[in-house]
Amino acid sequence: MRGLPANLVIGAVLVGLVVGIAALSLVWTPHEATQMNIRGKFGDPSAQHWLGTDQLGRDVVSQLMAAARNSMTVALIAVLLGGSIGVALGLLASALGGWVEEAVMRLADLGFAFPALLFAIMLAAVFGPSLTNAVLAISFINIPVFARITRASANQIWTRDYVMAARAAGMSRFAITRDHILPNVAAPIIVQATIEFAVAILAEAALSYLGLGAQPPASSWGRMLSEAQTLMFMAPELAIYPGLCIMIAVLGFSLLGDGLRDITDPRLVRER
Amino acid sequence: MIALEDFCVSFGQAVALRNATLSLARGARLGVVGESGSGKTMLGLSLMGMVPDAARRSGTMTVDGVEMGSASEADWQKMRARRVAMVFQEPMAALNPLRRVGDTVMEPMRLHDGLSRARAQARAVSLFEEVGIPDPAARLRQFPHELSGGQRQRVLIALALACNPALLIADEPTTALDANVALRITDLLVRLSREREMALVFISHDLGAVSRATDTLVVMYGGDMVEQGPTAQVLAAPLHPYTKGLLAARPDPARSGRDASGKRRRLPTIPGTVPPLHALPAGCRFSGRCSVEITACALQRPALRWADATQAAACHLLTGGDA
Amino acid sequence: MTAPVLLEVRGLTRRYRLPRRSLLRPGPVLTAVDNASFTIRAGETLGIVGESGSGKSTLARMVMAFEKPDAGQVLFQGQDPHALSHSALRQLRQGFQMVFQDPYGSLDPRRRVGWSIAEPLRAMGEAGTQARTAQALTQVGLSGQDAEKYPHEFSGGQRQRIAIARAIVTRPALLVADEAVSALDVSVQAQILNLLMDLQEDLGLGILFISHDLAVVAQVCDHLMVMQHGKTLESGAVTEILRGPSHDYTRSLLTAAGVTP
Repeated sequence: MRGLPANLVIGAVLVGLVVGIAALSLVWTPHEATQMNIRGKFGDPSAQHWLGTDQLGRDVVSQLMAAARNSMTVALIAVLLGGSIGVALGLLASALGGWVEEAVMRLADLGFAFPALLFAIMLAAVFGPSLTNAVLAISFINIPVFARITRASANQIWTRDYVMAARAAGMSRFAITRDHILPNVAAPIIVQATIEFAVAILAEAALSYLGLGAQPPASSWGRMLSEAQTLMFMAPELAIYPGLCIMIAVLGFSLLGDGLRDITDPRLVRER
Repeated sequence: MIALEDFCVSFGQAVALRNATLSLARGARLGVVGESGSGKTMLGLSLMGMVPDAARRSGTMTVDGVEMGSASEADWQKMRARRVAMVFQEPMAALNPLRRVGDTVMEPMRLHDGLSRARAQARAVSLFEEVGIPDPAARLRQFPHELSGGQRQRVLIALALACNPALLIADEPTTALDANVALRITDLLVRLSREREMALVFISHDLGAVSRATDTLVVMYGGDMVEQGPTAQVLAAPLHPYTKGLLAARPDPARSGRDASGKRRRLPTIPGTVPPLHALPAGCRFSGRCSVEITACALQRPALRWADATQAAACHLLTGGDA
Repeated sequence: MTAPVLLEVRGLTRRYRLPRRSLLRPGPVLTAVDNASFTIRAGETLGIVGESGSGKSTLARMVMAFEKPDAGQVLFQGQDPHALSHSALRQLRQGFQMVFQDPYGSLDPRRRVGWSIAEPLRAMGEAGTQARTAQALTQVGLSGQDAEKYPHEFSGGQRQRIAIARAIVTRPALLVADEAVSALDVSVQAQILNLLMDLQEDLGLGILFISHDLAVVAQVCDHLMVMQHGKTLESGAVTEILRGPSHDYTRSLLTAAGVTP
């Protein structure tokens, strides 16, 4: 582990923790997360309920774990979906240039300008609020991000001598994109994806907080926060726990992304 | 004014510089010639105390009588800019693009010599005049990207001269420049060395520039100094097989063209390539590629042998007194 | 019987509009290449000598059909590459290949050397790539087994040999060498120049050799063209220009190269 930057190691540990717990929740949680027990509401932390129970008697730990699973799933799908579309658009813009590039970049500008929240509300208005809609909304805001950085990185690679050589060899733009551009832009895209993961977690929490994402009985940190709001003076810890979870998850991914960027910095990695 | 004795620099098993020995008086001009991996850059860095921390150094180095071979970074910082200064190859990389060139040049004066802004500015103007930058007062306020390659190199030289060093090391100062500009920069360095009685070490692979700029020459290969002597003499009558091979490999319009059968004449070459630092032969570094080598060459390192009072080469085949 | 014409360039011109200095007037026009014309036959070498800003690299890019000229025409074996469709151009490219200046940038660092060399063959869907790659490697003085290695395992001179192998693997008729030896040490440069001369004789190549170094150009070329600020100052046989240059600029280049006319 020596030689790896601290942010990478800490980030990896945190991410591993969160992802591990989320995966674990697929097969085991201390209690059924949605199991209500009104008589046992606002329970103190005990051997039975490690962090106590909430206002409906549900086990806090189980809810946090289930929420972690939902959060990870949403973030993963959203980043993969939005990322794939964004990268494809960026590569296309870079390879074809001209009016195609202009059009794609103006579309990206539009996407950036369009408030994600508004999009989520629109989707909710048409299809009803759900976790799926949260995924779609977050995917949507990822597209312009990936399109822009892919295009910028790809444009740099197109000027390299070995790409010129491939053009001189008669390779098609598609083949050059597949063989030379994509492998060489992979690093910044992966770094960006990790950071977008953090953004997606926050976005999911925000949407669920507003009631546009996870609907009960599905668990979500954001929804837990929203429910805990009215109970702030009776049981503040019910807000603190999900808030801490969000923080740890976002911090982990941010640090990981930061650390990945450090180790893939071309100035440090260049072989001569 | 500066002297090296048996100076060695190594990185674990790889020896970058082996027993470098030279001495330079004020106003003397020494050329250091070699190709990639010859150790010439390491020699330049050694003279500035800028050898990487990971390297092991041995041998002695005296600068104006002060022993600097094992000096600390703090001691070297007092020496740099004041006694020894360096000009690098890439002018654009060495100048902060966000600062005006005048500010860059004035910084060491104000830092080391404690000059006031007004006096530093006056000094900077006169320095710019000295290095041949036209309209110096106006140029002070310009940014690096507004200047041509040759002008940037002149700015770098002015920067190096800012605190009146006794020794100027120029590492490939002309490589990034067009031929005409390179000629003028070379002449500038010679003039400055004469007018300021400043020692000059001119490190380059450009034999033409070196022959114009220097009185004595050292040829390096694989970290060893393989030949030394008066520049004109070494270039006209080289002793060491590597020097001979290097000079013969230069394209020469007088020897090119087609021969009687119509075939293009080829250039004489040195077979093979320079081995990596950790795989150099233990004896003479050039063994394995030398056309006249004998069995002793790979095993035993040749000492510097003098052919006459001024020219010497490290070769077993040379008859003559040992150094 | 004279050798067939490989490349014919007539009146090639390229202009760039520089960025505006004021909001009201458009930026000035820079003529990077002004009315360049020359011919190269099979087995011949033409050198283009110029310093930075002379337009020689822009000229090379237009010959290689990486940039469209504003005026003039390029004819490779009678065909104009700029007038062809994408697929027809890709087919034509097999006949003329390029060697670049930077031995460290011209090979994709993430690919094995053999993969890079075979790229021009793959582009046209040809088979037998392994055999032809090995053959190209031996032709440039390396071994067939080197195909499995990565670029960083080779020295600058060896990488340039690999770049040359890639350029000859399709058995082109014309080679464009853009400052192909400028980044190399003197002794390595001599080896590569000899290699280029050997390949020219063995394969009957025509070579367009671009360099800022007049001595190097004189070594490998029969004819040369001197460019400055986009204009062709003089052109003719190397021996004649060396004996008696008609331009002061050429004279200054000769002096800088250490040659007295």
